[in-house]
Amino acid sequence: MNPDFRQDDKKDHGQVVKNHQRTVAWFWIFPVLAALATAWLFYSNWASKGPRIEIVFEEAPGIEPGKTRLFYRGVNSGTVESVRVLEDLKSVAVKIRLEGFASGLASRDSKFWIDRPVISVTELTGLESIIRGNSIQAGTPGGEPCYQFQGHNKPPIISPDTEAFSVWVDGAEIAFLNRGTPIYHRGVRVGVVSQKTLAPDGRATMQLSIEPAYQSTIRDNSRFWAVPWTTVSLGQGGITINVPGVDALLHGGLAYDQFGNPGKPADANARFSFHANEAAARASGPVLTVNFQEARGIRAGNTPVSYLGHPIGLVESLTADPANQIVRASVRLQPEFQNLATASATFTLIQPQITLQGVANLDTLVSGPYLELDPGSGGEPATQFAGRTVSDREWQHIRTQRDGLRVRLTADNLPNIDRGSPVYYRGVVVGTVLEKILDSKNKPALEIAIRPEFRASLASNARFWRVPATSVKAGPGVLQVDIQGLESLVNGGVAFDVFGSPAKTANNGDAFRLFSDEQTARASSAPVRIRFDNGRGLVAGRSQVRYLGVPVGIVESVEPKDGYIFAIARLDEGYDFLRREGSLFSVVRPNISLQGITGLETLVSGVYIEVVPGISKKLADSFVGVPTPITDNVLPTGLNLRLTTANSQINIGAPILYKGIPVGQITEKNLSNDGREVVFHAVIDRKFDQLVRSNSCFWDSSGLKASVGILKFRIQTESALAPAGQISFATPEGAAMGSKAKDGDSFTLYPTPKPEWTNWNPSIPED
Amino acid sequence: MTDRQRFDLSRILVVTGFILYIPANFLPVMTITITGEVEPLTVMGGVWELYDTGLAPVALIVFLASIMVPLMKLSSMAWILSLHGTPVHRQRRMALHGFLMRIGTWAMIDIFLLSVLTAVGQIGILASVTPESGALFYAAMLMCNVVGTDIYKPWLIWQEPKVQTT
Repeated sequence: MNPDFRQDDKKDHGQVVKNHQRTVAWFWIFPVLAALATAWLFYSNWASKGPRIEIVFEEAPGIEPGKTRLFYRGVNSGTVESVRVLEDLKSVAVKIRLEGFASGLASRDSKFWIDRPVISVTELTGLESIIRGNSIQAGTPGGEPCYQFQGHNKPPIISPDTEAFSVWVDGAEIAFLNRGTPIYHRGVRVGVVSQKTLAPDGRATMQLSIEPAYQSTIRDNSRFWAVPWTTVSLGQGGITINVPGVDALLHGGLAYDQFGNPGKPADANARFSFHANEAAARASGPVLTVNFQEARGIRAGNTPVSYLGHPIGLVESLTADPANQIVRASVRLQPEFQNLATASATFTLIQPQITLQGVANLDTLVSGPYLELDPGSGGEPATQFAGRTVSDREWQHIRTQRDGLRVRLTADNLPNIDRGSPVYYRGVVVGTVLEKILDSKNKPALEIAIRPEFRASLASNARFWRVPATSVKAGPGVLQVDIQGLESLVNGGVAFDVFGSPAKTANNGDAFRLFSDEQTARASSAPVRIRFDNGRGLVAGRSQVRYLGVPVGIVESVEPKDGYIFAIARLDEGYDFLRREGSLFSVVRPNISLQGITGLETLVSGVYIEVVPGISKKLADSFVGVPTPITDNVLPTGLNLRLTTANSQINIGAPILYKGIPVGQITEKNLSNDGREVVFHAVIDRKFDQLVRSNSCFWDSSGLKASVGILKFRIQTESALAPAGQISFATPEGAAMGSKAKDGDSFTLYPTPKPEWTNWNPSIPED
Repeated sequence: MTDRQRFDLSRILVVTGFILYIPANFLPVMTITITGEVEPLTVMGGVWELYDTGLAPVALIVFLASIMVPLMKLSSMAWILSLHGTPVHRQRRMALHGFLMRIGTWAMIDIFLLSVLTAVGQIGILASVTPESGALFYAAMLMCNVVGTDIYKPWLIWQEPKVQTT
């Protein structure tokens, strides 16, 4: 077959060539197609490449050439080709080959930032870059072509492409608000803080991006304030914790609103001032200037202005004026309270006070000091005010002074009472001491003012007395410590009350006497002058006068004169019967003797004067005190007898015995007028006065103590030990019994009894 | 099909293979995404990747099997075809052709592996493997290689060279 083929070949040479060529044309489709495909592929690959751009970053963590992509709106728009550190070693340049379709990103306004995961308390972004690795993001293309860019370190807070309405908020200090902080308008989230920087003038400034839909809510009189992430308010209802929202929980918020009439819509990039809190923002009235002598406690942006306890404004700023030595506080009120700022208005700084005068304004410990605005009586609107720095108490004081009932109190001396001391009426503070002065007669006087609401309580016959800082009352088994109040603990005060029926209300300018204490004030009667041999233990203003153990008066003064002690006492209202002639005053002191122990309570209460009223109808002012206390069983209105004797060892206080039973007592021992006799004044208990008859016989039984005492009467033995001696008497029996002795009867005191006397045993009828 | 056609077709396929060899090696054959890291891999890139991860022997094997072997096959075939009709090295050409035919069975192993990888390597967000256009070129190159080798029958080696000389 081969030879044939070869022959055929020779013969049909042209045909073979022709076939060959046709074959070639058909088969060569494959390489041409492959070449075309390859060429097209390479071309399209090349054509899809956009321009190269270079971005300079401060740092380029996780950026790898050939791998890191550039994303624009989430689409892979380019690839990092190279990363190098610039010559100055301060930044890195990243070369990126853009995709063809993304060549528009190479324009002037484009922003590039490195997207990396940010996981912090306030932010959680770039999560995909945890998985995908860091990438470069692009946004906001526009403008002329540009191939060199400065990269940003942080991603923009809102999508950089939405056309957010932007305004600026400036403040001296903007704490805790940050990039990404949400912005609320009446609780609706309308945007975020997109930037927080320092303005060229050094103030903190924030750029706010407001969603366009809410653009119109920003007015040119809008006021911005920080919403803290939690508000903890401490009030009477307990603690309220207010959390505006979960994202606000992370980084607080910024709120705005306009107070008063809405103004014109704000322009883009308008500038607003920042207010630290809502109160500051609300106080949008015109600036008022209040001049203080001292501004301790006022904090700019924090100290509220309150009117009747209701916050109506805020101190915006404080500036010291060394030239005039004042501090100017710029105050803004809420517009609706602007009309209170009149010419007669006053601003008073109320501060917490823990002084010796007392604890006042405790609430300001929590809330801080505040300015109280007293609108006064109205007048023209004003912008300049004089501020007062006084405590609330003094403020009260001032108001009292202005409106209260003013009276004057005079006293011999006025310790412990000073300006501002309280005036009590039945324990209620009804006024205050305005001034402590010397009056025209050079006596100290107090100007006091009764608050208007208590005017009626001050009657013209009221009595004032000093409230002691602390009074300790002690009696048998009782120890009473009386503290009027923290304030009076140190300073005391003035109290008044009406004893007896109140007279008409006192008038302005009335004068009163100020007594040194309540006892004295109560003891309103004329003074009683008592002469004592011995004034030991009597204390002026302290020692009491007691009747049946009840305090009824007070010793006002004790003065020695002519070898005697004169105690001037005053008795309380209603005890005038104690001033009757013949009333017995005796000083009760602790007495420990063989006769017994008496007056022990005076160890605690102090010496006092016991009074036993006389029976006379006449009143007296002067008395002679009885040295020895009258024993309790001698009733004050007993039968008064006179006993006379030539000579006697019997002393005052000696008991008078009937059958050994004490029925009376010697209350006085004197010489008779002619000096020949000793005259005893004896008092017989009314219970026993029928025992004394006109012919009763009295004798000095002191001498019997040895012979009779032990044998007959045990009680007599004890009585016999009485140092004053003792007197016994007997009354005849039967028909010999005389009539009942009368008051003032006189008897003879015999030194010894006649024998028959001791045998008398009369049956004495009861009256 | 005439011998002449076989010869021509074989030649053309070898040439096509050479052309396709370029994009097959320059374009990424697959994209491996492992934990978010998108990595388009060319064949050579894969070799480097293996080498970088310390698997030098494997890298060598892959390099030989995926890059050198196709090239050697194409080159060998080109050599065989270039000596078509000449009496030179007929024995060796026969042996080489036979060898090429035998290893041609395994030519598509790369593509097979790629398809297996693509199918298996979809582990959701953690990893995924997607074939790229390079793989198509690579497969086409291999096809050209295999078909070009197969269509050129051994007996053509033994044909007299008269046809061409005259």
